[in-house]
Amino acid sequence: MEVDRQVVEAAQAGDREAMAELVRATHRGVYAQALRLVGNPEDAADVTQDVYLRVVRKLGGFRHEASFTTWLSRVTTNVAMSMLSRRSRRVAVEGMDLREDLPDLDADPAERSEALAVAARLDDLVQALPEGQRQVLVLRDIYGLSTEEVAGAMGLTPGAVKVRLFRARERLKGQLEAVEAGAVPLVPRRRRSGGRRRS
Amino acid sequence: MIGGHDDVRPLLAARPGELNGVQARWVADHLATCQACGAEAETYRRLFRGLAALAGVELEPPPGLLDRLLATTARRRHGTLVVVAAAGSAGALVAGVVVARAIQQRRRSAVLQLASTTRNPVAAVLRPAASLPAGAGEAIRDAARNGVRAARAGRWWRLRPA
Repeated sequence: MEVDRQVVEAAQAGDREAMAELVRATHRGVYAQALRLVGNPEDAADVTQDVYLRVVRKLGGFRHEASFTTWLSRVTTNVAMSMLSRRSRRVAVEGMDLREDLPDLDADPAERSEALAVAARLDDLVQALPEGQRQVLVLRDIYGLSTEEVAGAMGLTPGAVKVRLFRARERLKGQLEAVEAGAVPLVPRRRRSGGRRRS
Repeated sequence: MIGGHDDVRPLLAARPGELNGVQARWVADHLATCQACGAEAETYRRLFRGLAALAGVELEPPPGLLDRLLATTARRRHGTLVVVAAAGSAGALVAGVVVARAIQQRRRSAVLQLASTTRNPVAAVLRPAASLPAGAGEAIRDAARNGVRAARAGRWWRLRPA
């Protein structure tokens, strides 16, 4: 969800209500991204909390060079990957250009509608991927990091990222075909709190 | 034959920008003649669009998380330093709660106000110094003028009645 620039600027200036509005408007998206990366609701809630602590500390330095939600997505990626790989080498992804080559969903309303319908089937399938494959796919294909950025964030080589990505896509494609053919039901939602989607 | 079915099929799992020029040409030429690969490529295309759309699909967080976030950001944003005074003897809690509020003024100075002090706070421990808001150092110095002695102890600030 995009946030009005004036709200962000008011929060930067210390406006309590603006900060609360920022949190209310964005926390579901942050939580969703965290859950897709870390895989369970408890850790996702912790990541979300840490994200907003970092937002409070760093909001003053946000220069509106990207949208606020893009910046917030970077922060979420960093916090989640930091949680997942504290012991491995990790390169912060500050400054990366998110979603640079993802499909443009705003171009055609019919295609957007179809994409959202597919997305509704995919969320559970993504959650059921093996962790390593899921994280690579979430960062690359949902949040638009480059292969090199994913490699840096996860402490992998670009080649290893490509291998995991290929396997994840191939598996998802097969499962999507099976679900749409009615051959298998959607996998059960795993330990997810609430589960209501908002798009 | 290079660029034939077996060469092209693994490339169908790549997004268009991930292929080099030669690979992209192999794929385009092959899809013009192979219906099976055409159907597979279409499924991948729908998969990629569905995944991209997921970024905009929000999920409802656990109950209470929003309240925690609002409380945390309000406290930190406005520089309220919550100080829980720990106990006197035998682990009894509640010697008191000191709430010290550092009000930032143009990010350069701060004034510390004692919102309340209750019975005999033996010692109070502030949050890690590294997490204090800008200007809090001055606020801590002001605390001394308001009857609180503050000393840094490692990453933490310790407050005592002067």
